Amino acid sequence: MGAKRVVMSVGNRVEKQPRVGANRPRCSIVLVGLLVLGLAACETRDSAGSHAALVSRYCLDCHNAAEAAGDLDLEHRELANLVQDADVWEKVIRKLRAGMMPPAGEARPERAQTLEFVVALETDLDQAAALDPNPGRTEAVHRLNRNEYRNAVRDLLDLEVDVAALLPADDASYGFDNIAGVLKMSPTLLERYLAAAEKVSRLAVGTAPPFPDIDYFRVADDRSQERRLPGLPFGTRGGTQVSYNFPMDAEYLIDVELARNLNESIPLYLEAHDLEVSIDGKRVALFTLPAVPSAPAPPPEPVSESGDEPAEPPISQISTGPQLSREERRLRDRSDDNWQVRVPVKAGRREVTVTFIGKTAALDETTRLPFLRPYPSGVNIPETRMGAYLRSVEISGPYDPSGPGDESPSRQRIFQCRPAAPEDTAERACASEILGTLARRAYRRPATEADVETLLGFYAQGRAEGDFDDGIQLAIKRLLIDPDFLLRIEREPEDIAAGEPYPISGIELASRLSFFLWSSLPDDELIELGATGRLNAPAELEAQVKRMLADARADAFIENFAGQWLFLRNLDAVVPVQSIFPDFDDTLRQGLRRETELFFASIVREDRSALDLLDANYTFVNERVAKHYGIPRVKGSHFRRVELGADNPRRGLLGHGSILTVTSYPDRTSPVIRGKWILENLLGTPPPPPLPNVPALKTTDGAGSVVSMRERLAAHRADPACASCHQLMDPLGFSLENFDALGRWRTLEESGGLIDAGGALPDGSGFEGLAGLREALKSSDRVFATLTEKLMTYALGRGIEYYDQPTVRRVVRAAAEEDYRFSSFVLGIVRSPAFQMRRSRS
Amino acid sequence: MIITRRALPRRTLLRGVGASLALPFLDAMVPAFAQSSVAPVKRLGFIYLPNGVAMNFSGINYWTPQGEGAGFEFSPILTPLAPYRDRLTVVSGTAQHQADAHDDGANGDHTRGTSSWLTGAHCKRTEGADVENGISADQIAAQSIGQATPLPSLELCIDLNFLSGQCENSYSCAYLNTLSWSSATTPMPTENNPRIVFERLFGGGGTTAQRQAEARENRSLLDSVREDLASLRNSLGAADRGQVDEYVESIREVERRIQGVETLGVDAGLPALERPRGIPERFDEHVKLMYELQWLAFQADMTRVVTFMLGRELNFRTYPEIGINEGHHGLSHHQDRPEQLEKYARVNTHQTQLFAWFLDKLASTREADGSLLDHSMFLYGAALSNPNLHAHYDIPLLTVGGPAGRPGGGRHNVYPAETPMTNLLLTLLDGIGVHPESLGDSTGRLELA
Repeated sequence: MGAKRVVMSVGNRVEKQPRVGANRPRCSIVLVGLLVLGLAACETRDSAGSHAALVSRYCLDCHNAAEAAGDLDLEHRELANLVQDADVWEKVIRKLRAGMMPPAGEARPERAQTLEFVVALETDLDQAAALDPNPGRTEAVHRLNRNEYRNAVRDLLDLEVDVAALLPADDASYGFDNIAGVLKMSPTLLERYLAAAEKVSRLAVGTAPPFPDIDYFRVADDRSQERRLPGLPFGTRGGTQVSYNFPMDAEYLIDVELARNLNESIPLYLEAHDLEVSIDGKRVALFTLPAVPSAPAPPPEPVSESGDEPAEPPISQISTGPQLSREERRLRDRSDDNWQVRVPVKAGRREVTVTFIGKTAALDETTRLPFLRPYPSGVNIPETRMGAYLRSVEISGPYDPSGPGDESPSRQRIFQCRPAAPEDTAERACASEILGTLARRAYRRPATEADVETLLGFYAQGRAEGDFDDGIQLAIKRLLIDPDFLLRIEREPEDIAAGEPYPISGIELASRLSFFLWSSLPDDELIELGATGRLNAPAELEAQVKRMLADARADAFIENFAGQWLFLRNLDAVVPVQSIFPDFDDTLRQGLRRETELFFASIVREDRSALDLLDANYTFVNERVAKHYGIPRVKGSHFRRVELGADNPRRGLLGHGSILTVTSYPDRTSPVIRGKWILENLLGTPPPPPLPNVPALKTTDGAGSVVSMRERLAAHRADPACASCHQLMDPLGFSLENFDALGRWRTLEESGGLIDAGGALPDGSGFEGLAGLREALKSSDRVFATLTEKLMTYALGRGIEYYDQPTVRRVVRAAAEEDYRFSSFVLGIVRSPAFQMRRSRS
Repeated sequence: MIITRRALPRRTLLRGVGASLALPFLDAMVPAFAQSSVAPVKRLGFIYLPNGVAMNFSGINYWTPQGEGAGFEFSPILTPLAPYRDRLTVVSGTAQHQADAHDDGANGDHTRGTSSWLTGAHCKRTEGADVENGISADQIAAQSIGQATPLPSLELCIDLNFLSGQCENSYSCAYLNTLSWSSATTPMPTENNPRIVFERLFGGGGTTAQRQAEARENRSLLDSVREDLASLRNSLGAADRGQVDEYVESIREVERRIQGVETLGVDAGLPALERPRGIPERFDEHVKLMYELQWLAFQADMTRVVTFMLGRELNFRTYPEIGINEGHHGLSHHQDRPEQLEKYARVNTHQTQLFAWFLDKLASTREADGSLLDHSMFLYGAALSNPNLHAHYDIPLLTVGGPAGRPGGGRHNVYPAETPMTNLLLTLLDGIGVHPESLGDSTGRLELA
């Protein structure tokens, strides 16, 4: 049944009211303007019939009214009036651009013919959109998510807070956790906001809390502590460093705890281990875990008393190791019971370092594979850990505070004035100045008198019960739960008709920009430009975008956008199976994440081509990551840029261990997950969901030998029910099989066979390995469109709809003219109606 | 009472538990809310297992007991609950009809499993602002019996929920992250950090007078915010006010809780408590700590309603402590292979052992004329039966709690296929004296006895 009816003609009317006049003369566009495009469209007049024929011939067998495969019915669609079915045709464009339709193996038109059809569809839809843009509509009320809250507090009060301890995680939609519609308010959340406001305002102002606070820092169980860790002093090993806000000049108690083995006891070591606690590099305590001599009997003298090291210990100490009586054992397990130190600290943010003093030579206790994880993570797994390790640091205080201190950056930020005299009028004048500034920044607009009055009311309440600082603290607490702080609000003009596009205000634009690129408040400069309307000038807007991307606050863009788009966040939850991957540890986990963050940041900050995301001649490694990759001659924990040769597998994101790891199972690779990741995040064409009751993926054949991954998955693709998706996912994933589940290069797979890394794009065109995949993606039409869609979703805080597609295409076209430099995508989005305008509610 | 340094070895059970902290307000707080209650306290808990349980439909079933009625034999997964046989009802045969796809396409079985478990509602397929489900049974309880306690309910979980790409396409993660909906449009956030749960329950510390002073302060702050919200509301179009209304509603609820704190009695001089430090790295320790907090909350009558998700659907956690190296979700797609089902059963049994540990604590803690367990009722189970098929029928469920020998106890009840699971939820609500006419797709009540 090849000849279903399609009402034909393509490339005709473009007019302000697209819904009327499907039957107008074909070349009316010439009259409207758009001469070139119009003529081009007219020239296709003869092809209109052929387009209808193409749809009939290649699509309608499945996408007809009766079957509507994939919920898509193309029968009786009017090619002459695309706009009325814009949502349908955008789906068609996407599938055709990705080469996914007709499915590989079915009859297909020539690629050129398909492209000609796609371009005609796009041209028509884009012309209509240019004349009648639909900017879409982000919800009017957009609550800050918790990352934004943290950054806002930082920029408002110069205070870093551990936001995960203050607020719950936010629900994500469309792959991002900053989507306006789903960021709800609830009693639980409001309670948390109240508690956070109390804590933040006290920390910032340095007013004495009613009771000492306690913060606890846990060292990851699987962090190797055999060597010096990134950021810690030379000559040390293991431990941790904590950036801590000391809210007042006061005494603080630092309590450290050693790691235990599976029996919750402290292993016996032949040598003493010294653990140093320092604040801003200055030692405040040294704790010693005494050695236990290896001789089984008699019971040894405590080292601390004898002062002498025991005589030459034997080389091997575990099986023939020291023996302790039950009482000695008990005492040893409590060695660190009193490892705490109370020290006076000046207010401000300081580095608390707790680390072991390194030994000059490798001890027997540490001569083993360097990256064995310190802890066995399960039962019946031999104890691999032999050194002394830190488990946790606890800091509590302030005790006996002597005052707020004058060094705290928060106080310097907040107290732009001090009362000229200790009397009411002078104090109030200063409070008013302080609170007016804070309100402008926090509410992201010029502060009104009413704003300041409200805050002054609470200032007065706090002042009445304490001193000037107490007043300011209470006012800040009030400010931190203000709807104008917690919620981003976009108000429609009062007199606007329903469903009309309108430009958002300059102030709203300033906020959109800053939450897009900084995940935080606009700074004074942006607020000023927004409030005076100057931000809307194209040159100013461009200058501001470039300034913002260069600013350190844009780190948030890298962390949040790349962290979610590329799934880097998921590394936190990755726990590869220890028996298969014994040398995966927290240092590697953090290192792989850091590599990709630095790489993405280099694209953004150096304004490189987005093509570099797929293929770059450099990446960033430290010793740990370099070792993982087999890159020689990289020493030390700091990350550095390394050049990559033309055939280096680490070129581009798809060679990064981070992405290869988060798309694997805990015990093996998954070509399916990797393929799905590429389809969703690079090609923007998510596969349909898996069917339940998939047949078994055999790991062994009948004879008991291990079956190759490719053979296993072939079974899926042989089943028609599975084939429609696995045909798309598996071949993409196969091309990455040279990387194991941690992203290490390999040439043999688990079955022992040689890796066959042959892959294919959804259009069926084949390629070989990562290099082939990179080239295929670089020439794909979809990758830049997908990047744009992801960026727009993140920038607007809403899902991308069919009516956004003309904008997406415009952004990509403009970027192409600038060699796909990263800023051209950002600027393209910022300049678009979707970003600068909004549709009133219909 | 409660956890003290002496009562619990510091580094065994509660490895993630730390600094000692005086909490003198704890007992003092109880009368302010609960002194009017004469009858034994009734509590309701909902414990949720992600990714179904180890069963297929061709003869392998590690969950469903052999035999019906009083003569049933415990299945491997449920064996750890044997000591509670006489106050336990295994409920077989019910279905979560609203978890089925209906016209929403094949996608979303896990999502709808979670979202309909306590609501019986078919959630709207969307990632946008039109997220819509139904009120959940625990929240119905929270809005009645929960009003007698400082916290109407607690929503707890184990997994991280800020990961990327771990939700099913076209469904907001909100549906997958929580079981609790205080209205059709308001999902309740869940918490997995024991320390934060502890502080929500008992505050960060301080004396009663300090807590009261802060409560007064918070009240006046919220009053002032309410005024702001009124003018904000007026400046928005009618259709845009939903979020602002949620804010106003939240203020009302938080003020109610504050009132309770303001009327606290005098310090009662309780022994010091250990405040959890953070999230333990091991699954079993984490789960135990979360149970411990529920036990504390019940004991202090801080709340009477809890939901607890032992994992999120689709999670890929491994369980090395019991020798399971495959990710949870992957394992649950057992493909009918006996050895994989056996492995998965070990995960489910592990979960049940932890639950039994919790029941032991409740049963051994005296309250009034009996134990905490005598005055509590739990629903324990999953939203998928055979996870390989994403089956939303023959849902694996059991209720446990109440006094020994309670009506319905010691039974395995098999209900006619297609009986909505919501009928059971209504029966549970009846048990605490809350009698909504219906819930989601319910068609009546279940007879447990």
